[in-house]
Amino acid sequence: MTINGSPTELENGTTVLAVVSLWAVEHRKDSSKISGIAVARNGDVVSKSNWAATEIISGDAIEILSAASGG
Amino acid sequence: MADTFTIAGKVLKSRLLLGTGGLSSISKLSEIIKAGQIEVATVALRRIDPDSKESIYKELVANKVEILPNTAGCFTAQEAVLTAKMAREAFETNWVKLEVIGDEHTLWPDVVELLKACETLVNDGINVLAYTTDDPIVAERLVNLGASAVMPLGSPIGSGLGISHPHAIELIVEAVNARVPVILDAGIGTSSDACHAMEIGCDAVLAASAITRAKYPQQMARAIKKAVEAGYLARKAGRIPKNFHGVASSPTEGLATW
Repeated sequence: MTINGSPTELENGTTVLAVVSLWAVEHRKDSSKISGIAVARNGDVVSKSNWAATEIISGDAIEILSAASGG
Repeated sequence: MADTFTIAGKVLKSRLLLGTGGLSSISKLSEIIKAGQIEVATVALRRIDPDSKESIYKELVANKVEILPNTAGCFTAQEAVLTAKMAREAFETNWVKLEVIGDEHTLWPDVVELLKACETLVNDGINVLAYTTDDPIVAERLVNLGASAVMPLGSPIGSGLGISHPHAIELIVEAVNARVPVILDAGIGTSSDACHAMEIGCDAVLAASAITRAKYPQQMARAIKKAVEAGYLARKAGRIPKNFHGVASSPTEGLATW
């Protein structure tokens, strides 16, 4: 599987929420306060309400996006 | 024109929108927002940087600014639609500044893809603020598809060349302004360009590089804000017609003979 284009090893069954927490928590500390982030799995938006229930499987391409400066 | 204007049901007082592209540091954002009395600011959507200590999203939320996500960097309708849907999810907003770029050098909008993406997103319940060319026919098409605002370029993004084709902008204002706001976007170089946009009937101006890449961004935000207000007041005041020859303002009656 890839996360933001980088090949990544994850156990089958890892949820989107777990991955987002891993990526976002370093500078936010508290995963319950994650905001301003969207996730796509294989080109489809995964709603925040489905992060906990969506398991990532081998071959998935995950994109985790947030705001950046832009006109 | 009322002193406020409305985009997709939201009443706005400030007719200067901020594009955050080109910002050298997020720490400068707050002072720019205050100087320009900014109520709406754009952001782009990019891969998260896990090492980043700053969040432009949180900075805008803290400043109570309405976030207008853009689809910058998208070259097809499909990419733009997915990006807009991601933005809706990330920022819990129904707004998107829809841009579909046709070419890396000119950054000119690809209006064929733009129209396709606009239709899809409007049908999906998203309020589309469409970044478009200065073509009045395309503007009309966008509004007919349900766009919430049209944002014609003055000149290419980041060029600072001002308004290349003011007559076309006036035609857009005439064609669509009764239905949706017209926001001059792209090409603003300095305050006079923003004033010009307002004088020819635009409801608002979006400035990014003109402010963020100015030597002193905070001062330029204040200057452009005042220029937008001046242009708006001049438009309401009703300018005199242009005359090919001079028109004397002093009376000829009672003129002494020597």
